[in-house]
Amino acid sequence: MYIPVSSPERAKELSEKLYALSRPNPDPQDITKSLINWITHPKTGAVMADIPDGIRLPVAVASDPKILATLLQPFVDTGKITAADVIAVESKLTQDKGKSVLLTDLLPDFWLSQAQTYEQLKELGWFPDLVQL
Amino acid sequence: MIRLKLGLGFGFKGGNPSSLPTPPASPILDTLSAAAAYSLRLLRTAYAGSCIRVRRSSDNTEQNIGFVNGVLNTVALLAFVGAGDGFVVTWYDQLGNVRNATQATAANQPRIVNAGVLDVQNTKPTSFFNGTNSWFENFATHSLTTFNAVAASNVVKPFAGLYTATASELILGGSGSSVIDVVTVHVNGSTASRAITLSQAFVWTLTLAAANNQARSFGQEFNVPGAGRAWDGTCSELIVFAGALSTADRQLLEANQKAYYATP
Repeated sequence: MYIPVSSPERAKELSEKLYALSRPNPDPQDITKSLINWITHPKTGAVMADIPDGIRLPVAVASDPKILATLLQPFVDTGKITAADVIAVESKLTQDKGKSVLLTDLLPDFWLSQAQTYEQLKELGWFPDLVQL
Repeated sequence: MIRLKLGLGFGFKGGNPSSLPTPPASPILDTLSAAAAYSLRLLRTAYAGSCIRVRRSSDNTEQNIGFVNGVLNTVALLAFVGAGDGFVVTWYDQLGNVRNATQATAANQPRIVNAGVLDVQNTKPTSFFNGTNSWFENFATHSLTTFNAVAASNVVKPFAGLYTATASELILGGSGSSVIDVVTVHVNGSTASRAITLSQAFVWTLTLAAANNQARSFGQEFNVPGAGRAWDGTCSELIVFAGALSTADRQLLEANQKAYYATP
């Protein structure tokens, strides 16, 4: 599924912070820096984070449960979610330390409710038409 | 794709070294001069580096995995990954020309261990591209012209290439939607097709026009993200040459691969 993100920079931040939940203290030799990909609409420039079906994340014991707060704050500021919702995410991340969890279980319902499929995005022009060779 | 369960849990049967894959004949790149080479077997005697860097799903720790007796050290790989999944973070270039194939985004990394079980093709270890988002970035082969692979496609999917340049130079991938079971490539600027059997490994060698100097991608069509254009299948070996191979050299390479990988 794909969920909307305000900019490529926000998508990169989301991807890196989600990955940091599993690797809060990365090894200097680590190559992997982020969890998920994102796409940009070729005409509008809108951005969607790509959430692969069933993707799971091992939440490290040493992870920071407040790591997503800055990403969620714009939703609070615009009244889409409440401060209590943010606290609920933090509580869940605290409870999930040491567990492997579905990524979709970590994201607020408001965000997930805007998810779209590949087919839906294709209809909306997110992917260039195939060129017959 | 066949998945080979190697012993109980995640190890080989009793840890018996005799269950390691049969070592290949003399490394083929001791004889041929390539520009970049990615394989799960040792292709050059002089190469002393690791084979791949792997991330395990249990805690996202990464580790380099090397060779034993000329093949990927699957005992070390399975011991490291455990009961979860293992993904290829870096496929090291055995030529040492700083052309390592890497993927820094976890969700985009090709798989090599599935729930503690080694991914294999014809009993040999292989990397599995999921057809959605598995691919390598930082693949610096712009000016190189000859490409050889041991790979299998699991589905017919137009425009999904194992190795691609731009949309106009799609190679090692399906063509139009009407094409069934055919891999279409560009060879010296013209199109050539070859029928394949789905999920069956095949050896392919092709040469692009020498003037072709475009950005390349390993696992999906270049710079075209999304599930529609990603390789759905396996790749066990990819060798890149700076120029065209002579017929004798190409036949030597393909014979070596067919013998080792037991491909048609």
